[in-house]
Amino acid sequence: MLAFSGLVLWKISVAKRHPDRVYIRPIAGLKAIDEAIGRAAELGTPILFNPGIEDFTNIQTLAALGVLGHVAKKCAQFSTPIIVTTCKPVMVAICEDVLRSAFDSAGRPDMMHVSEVRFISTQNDLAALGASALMVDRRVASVFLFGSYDYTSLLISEGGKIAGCMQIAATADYYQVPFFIASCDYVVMVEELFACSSYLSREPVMMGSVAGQDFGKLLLLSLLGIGVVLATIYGTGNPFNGYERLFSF
Amino acid sequence: MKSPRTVTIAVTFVAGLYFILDFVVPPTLPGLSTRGVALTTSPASFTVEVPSNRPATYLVAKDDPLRPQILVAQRDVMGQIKLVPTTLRQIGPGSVVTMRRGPFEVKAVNGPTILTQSGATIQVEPGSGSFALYDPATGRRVRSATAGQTLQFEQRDAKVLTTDPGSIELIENGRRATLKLGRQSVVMKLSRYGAGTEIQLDGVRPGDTVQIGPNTYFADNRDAAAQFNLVITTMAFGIGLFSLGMVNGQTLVKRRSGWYLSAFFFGAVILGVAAGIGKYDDPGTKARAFSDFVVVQIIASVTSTVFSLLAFYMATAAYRVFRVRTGEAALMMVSALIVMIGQTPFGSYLTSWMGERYSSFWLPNIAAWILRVPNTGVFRGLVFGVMMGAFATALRYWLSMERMAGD
Repeated sequence: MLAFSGLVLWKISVAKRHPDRVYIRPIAGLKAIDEAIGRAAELGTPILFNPGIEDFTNIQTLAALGVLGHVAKKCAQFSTPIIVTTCKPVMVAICEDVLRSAFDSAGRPDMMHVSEVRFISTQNDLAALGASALMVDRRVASVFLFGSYDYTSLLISEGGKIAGCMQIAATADYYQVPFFIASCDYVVMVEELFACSSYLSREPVMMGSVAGQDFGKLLLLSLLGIGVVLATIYGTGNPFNGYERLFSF
Repeated sequence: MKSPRTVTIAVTFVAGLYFILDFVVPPTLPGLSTRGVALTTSPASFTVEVPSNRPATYLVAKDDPLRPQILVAQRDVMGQIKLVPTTLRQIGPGSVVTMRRGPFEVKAVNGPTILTQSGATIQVEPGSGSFALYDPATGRRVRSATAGQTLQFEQRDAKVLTTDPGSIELIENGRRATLKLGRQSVVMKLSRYGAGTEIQLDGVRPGDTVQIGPNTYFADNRDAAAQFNLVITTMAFGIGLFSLGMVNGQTLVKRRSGWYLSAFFFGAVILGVAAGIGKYDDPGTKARAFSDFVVVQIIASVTSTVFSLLAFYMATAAYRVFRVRTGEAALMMVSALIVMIGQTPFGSYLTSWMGERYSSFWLPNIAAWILRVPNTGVFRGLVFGVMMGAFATALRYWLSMERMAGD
């Protein structure tokens, strides 16, 4: 843990000193955020953001809240109302605070009156169905599904598909990714969710942490490679075990 | 503290530090812990004083058929007091405990004394509210014991006078040593793989590798720290209900559009509260029957209906995905077909004619290989990515480096 923390903190310090040295490859789903908000602005209808089925104790929800802030800021620039639906009561206040901060920083505190955060139900499937009903009733133009999801991923994304919304989804729950691929226009795949807010903010500190996590993966891969070589040489019962052959009598 | 933001950062840091320390710090204090291979144990014991002022010493030994199970009273989420099993480490002089002993077979009854088949004697306290004999099969209270009966007894409201955590003889660095346990000593059974698990002294078997040392308190207090979340959620529920009541009440009073939905909301809340009252009543009572009717026959049916929508959604989504338009889509289609057919008896039927020699080409074996080798490889890669991503995001939040739109 210390090694991984060290890597992340080291890359953050590098990014602070040389912001131009950190590069994050373009992520199609995040590039499409402007297009999705623009679509809503042209149609004059709201967008819907769902931060997943978990509360703030889940790291995916925290990553989704980072994206919500950026989406809300963009919405404020285009005067597009944003609806946030959640199945966790405690998330209502948090999402409201994120929206308020984003609108204030964009110089549009008045946007808070037309945007809304809705708690639908603590039961995930009913919350998904409620969000789908909202998409139809409010003629939502674009849907953002960011965060942790269970089987209700298909319920909510198919609801959006039927309502004719442009949909961008991102989850690190890899079992749900195929369902999102089937129903959404863009899918931010698995670990890319954690890079979203860094990618959108372009803050050196945030970008540095993403670079640090990539270096962490490189370290893990190297350890795996070393492990495979060592297991091949020293592993018991291995037909290529040179060590056993050398010392067996 | 300069500003609310500074306070937030400080609280976030301390809370994060607690959970990290809980994860990193071992359950016993490093440096003060002893590690060795267990040989023998001397059982722990505790002395209690029961309401009839009779002091008694109990041994906590595994082989003792009358080994007491120590229970303490705790209030559950419904506000009801329940007896929860605890360990000797978590009680001390002054603690009030309940002890459950047995089951034992009655050999003979001599006045207030019961002689058990194992030779132990139990002093019955007739008329005492703190002493009770039970039939372990039915859980019902038994007024008097008779020879041949299998019984269990419970001694309530016993005040702990002293505790002796016992001692252990072990081989430490090749030397035999006897270690006297302290009141807060934790016994960890170590295994070759994975972290050690806490066990009680009477659970130690000769030959077990154990680590014994003072408790670091993190694991004991983790649940209490995690309950912050529960408190916040409960408060949010209360505020939410109040807020909903205000909004819907105004809609109803002012006859705004959709006022009938507000009326439905109040009806649903009343119905929900009425159903909740009888939720924990005994089965067979009217209140429980009403609660079950609302929960099982109304809410569960509605939820199942919503769930069944998934079947239709899956069909339409599968149709869209399985249209073969590109090479990758064709590859996915073929592997999906192999995996799906390979899991059915029809898959075995299709390829079993090949014989044992070519069993590697049987559809179930190909399906298993796809799932076990390429699929597992990809999943593990994803897990690594998710782990590192979650780690970096957690670090950003913990050190307050995450920048929201308003920051």
